[in-house]
Amino acid sequence: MKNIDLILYNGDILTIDENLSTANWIAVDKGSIIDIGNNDEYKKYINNAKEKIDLMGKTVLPGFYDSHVHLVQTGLNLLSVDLSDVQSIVELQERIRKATYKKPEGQLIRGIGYDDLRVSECRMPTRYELDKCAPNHPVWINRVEYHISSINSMALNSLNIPFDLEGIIRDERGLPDGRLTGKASAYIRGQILNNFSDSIRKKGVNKALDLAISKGVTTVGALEGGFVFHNRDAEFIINNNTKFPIDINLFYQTIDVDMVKGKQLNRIGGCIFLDGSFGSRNAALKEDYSDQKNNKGRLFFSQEELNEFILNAHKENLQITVHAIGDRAIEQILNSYEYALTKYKRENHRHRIEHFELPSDEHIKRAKDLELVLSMQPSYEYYWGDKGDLYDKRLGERRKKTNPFKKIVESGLIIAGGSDSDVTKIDPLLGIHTAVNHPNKEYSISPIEAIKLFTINGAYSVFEEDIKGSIEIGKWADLVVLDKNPLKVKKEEIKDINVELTLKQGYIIFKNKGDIDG
Amino acid sequence: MAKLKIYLLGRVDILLNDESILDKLSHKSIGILTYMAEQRNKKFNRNKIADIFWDSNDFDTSRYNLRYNIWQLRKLFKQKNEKIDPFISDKETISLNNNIDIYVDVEEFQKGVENQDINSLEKIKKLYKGEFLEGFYIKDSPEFNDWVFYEREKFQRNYIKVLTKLKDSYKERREYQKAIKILEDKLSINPLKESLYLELINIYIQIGDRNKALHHYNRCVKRLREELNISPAIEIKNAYKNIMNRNNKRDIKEIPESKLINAKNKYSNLYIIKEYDKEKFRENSIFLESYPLGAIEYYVLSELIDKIAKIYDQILLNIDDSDLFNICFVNSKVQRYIKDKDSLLNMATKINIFKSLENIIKQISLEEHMTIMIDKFKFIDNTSLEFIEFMLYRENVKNIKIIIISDEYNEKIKKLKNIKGGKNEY
Ligand SMILES: [Zn+2]
Repeated sequence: MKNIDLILYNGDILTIDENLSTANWIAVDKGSIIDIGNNDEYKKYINNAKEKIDLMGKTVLPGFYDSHVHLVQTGLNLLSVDLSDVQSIVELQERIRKATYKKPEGQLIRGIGYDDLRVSECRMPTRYELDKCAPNHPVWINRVEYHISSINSMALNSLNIPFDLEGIIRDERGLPDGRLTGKASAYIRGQILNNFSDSIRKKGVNKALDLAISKGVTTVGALEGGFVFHNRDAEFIINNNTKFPIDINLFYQTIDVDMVKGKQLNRIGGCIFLDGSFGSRNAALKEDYSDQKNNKGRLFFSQEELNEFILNAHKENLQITVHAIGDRAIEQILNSYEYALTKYKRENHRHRIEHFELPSDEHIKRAKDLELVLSMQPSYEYYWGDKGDLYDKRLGERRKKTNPFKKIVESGLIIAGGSDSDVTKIDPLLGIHTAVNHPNKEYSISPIEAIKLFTINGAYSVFEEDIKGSIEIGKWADLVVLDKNPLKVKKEEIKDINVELTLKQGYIIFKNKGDIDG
Repeated sequence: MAKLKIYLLGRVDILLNDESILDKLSHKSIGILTYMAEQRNKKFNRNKIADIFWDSNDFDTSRYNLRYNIWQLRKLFKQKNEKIDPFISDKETISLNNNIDIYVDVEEFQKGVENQDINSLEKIKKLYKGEFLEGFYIKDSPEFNDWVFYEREKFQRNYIKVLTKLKDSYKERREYQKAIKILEDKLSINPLKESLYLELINIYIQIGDRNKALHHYNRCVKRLREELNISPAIEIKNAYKNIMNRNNKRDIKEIPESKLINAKNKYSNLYIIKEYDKEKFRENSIFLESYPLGAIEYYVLSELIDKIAKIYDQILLNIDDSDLFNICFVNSKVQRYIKDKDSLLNMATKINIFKSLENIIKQISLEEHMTIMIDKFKFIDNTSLEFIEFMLYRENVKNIKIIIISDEYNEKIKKLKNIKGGKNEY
């Protein structure tokens, strides 16, 4: 018998193939799965395998997909100063001052997660306050939502700012005081991100990928570029796509169809914001926010504009996706997809909607008729879905209608699971856990259905179901080994399951300190 | 006499007798010199200067530091064999010595801002090599840095004033390309300013360049969407509608008569122009190129269908399936417009293909004037040539011009010329 690269045996293997069959061993050669079986059959390979892994009863799943990650942003944020828990500007200054000790003078210090509404001063810091704690480093502080920011004098000096830009807050002498809103904040954000070198991106992305890999992720849908982000992020992914340890499928967040075609990409979009978020009360709703009368959120596109973009991209044979959270935004994108598909029939387009948090029953039916893929983030419910949490505050009774996974799955629609990192951490097991333990019980799905969101459905959502997403002969040996079987533990404990090994095309790329001998 | 040149617009530079002394000066010395030069007729209080550039809490040290820096500057002058003291100072005050020949670019700039004539404005524009003291920052001199911020805005404001005056003058004189360049300069300062895109769009509409107008519309839309996630203002949307609704009303009669064959039939107008004239007519036409490809029949027609699908896809949506099926044999791209994809395909004959394509062109011409331009006509494939003959012969399409580009008279042109006895004016 010929030599093979790897045999994994003695395991509890959930193949997630069509029959959801199980197995005990997998044989891998040249990156692909060449055989699977039960009981002792693996013995025919054992003497010829270059590497053997005794799984000792551990559970194996197909390597996870995280279908919605802002990867470069996640990476850059890992290199930033986290200000999400500071309670005052003095505390912020202290945190920034500490950061200056660790960075050579002149290098940018970026603070993230700052929430001006939660500090005692209830405002952003001025440049004078930032100069005090970091006179020799450029400093850039972002509010959680990225719409407001502050920079210090050194940063202000290094940027070319049009004097007539709207949103530059000024002091009594008429000079910029370092706080920026609206257009000015967006413009300066663009300038600063543009100045970020690719080596910084590389450093951040590698960090983010290491974390993803340690959570069993072997394929990432990276949503990059455009508003709130920067096109250089997308370019960075394109330029380095062969160098990452796991697969990264780029979604270029632009409305420029020609540009995307020119780069020979076959999909367009991502978080192209049709509306905002529940948190900032600008997700577009049909009824008012429960905690703010006369506010139904906002649509950022007119129907006409959106139709034009969708039709244009659709005609060019691209796979399309956009961000739609509230029922009004969901309605808008459904209209556009219907418009495009009536004009041009196209089979197997797999257009997606990102988030789809508050759909009506009718929306689900329309999405099904259009054969859309829904890219959703179960762990939102973990953080925001319980009584008293964010959904409850903003939506009141409507919180019982968010993320109705069961309804959607039963309608026959495909859901791809994601984290929206760095809104929530990359952690498919937490996503699976929440989909099973939905705060609204009637929307909970079974563990096996939940696993599909992060495996085969993820693969389907990017046209990769023929090579990945399940453990089958001929598919890539992208695998994750867990210390417990999610189908067998108490469903409340799924989130506590640990990743023991992550394998990419047969190579171990992550190994926990556990007892598996890899 | 010592000649001191100080450039503050853009990256700072200081020249003594035409030689840069920047790298011989400390950061603070550069600051002091630029600060005094920008307001060079002023007498400065020494304490005040010391305060600006050094920590004011330590009075003695800051006075000492100022003395030291001034001494170094003086020394540098001496080293360069200059006998004149660059400063006039006493215990309390200090100022630049007006007995040396000092040129400061901002002074010249400031003087010229109010000019009106194009020549001097152009000169003034050239002085602005970048933001005031671009990239220059003194770490622990907040007052100096605030002064820089203030001056930066002031000069940027004045620069934009100059640009606006220049642009208006160019527009008045119909020097549109120059006006466009100035608008680009303004955009590079503030790329989010929608009114600038609108101006560009309007200029291009004015000079009849529909494609460029469209390009700037798209550029504006993209920029606003990607940086601010907003739609453009209503004026810009209207300008867009304006572009889209404009028929290609190019006055084809501009074509110099002597260079034409004008087929005599009353509807379809056939023109022949020479290579060097082609750019004049290219903009608003469906521009096709022939290549010496040998036996690839339908090549030019396939190109034509391609362009039609790009420009007139709304019209294609309403074309009968049967016509689309026929055209599919030439270019499969039109498949997507077919409504009933399951119906059976018969092999299309050449004549069916011609009729269907004619039909499509006719539909378009009902809504818009159409100009088809074929470059390197001598290379056109035979089938495509036959189609042109077919069209001209049938006279079925009214609102159309066909322009062929050829520098020589040849068999292919002869064929067209002979249709219904079109007369040769070549
Ligand atoms: Zn997102």
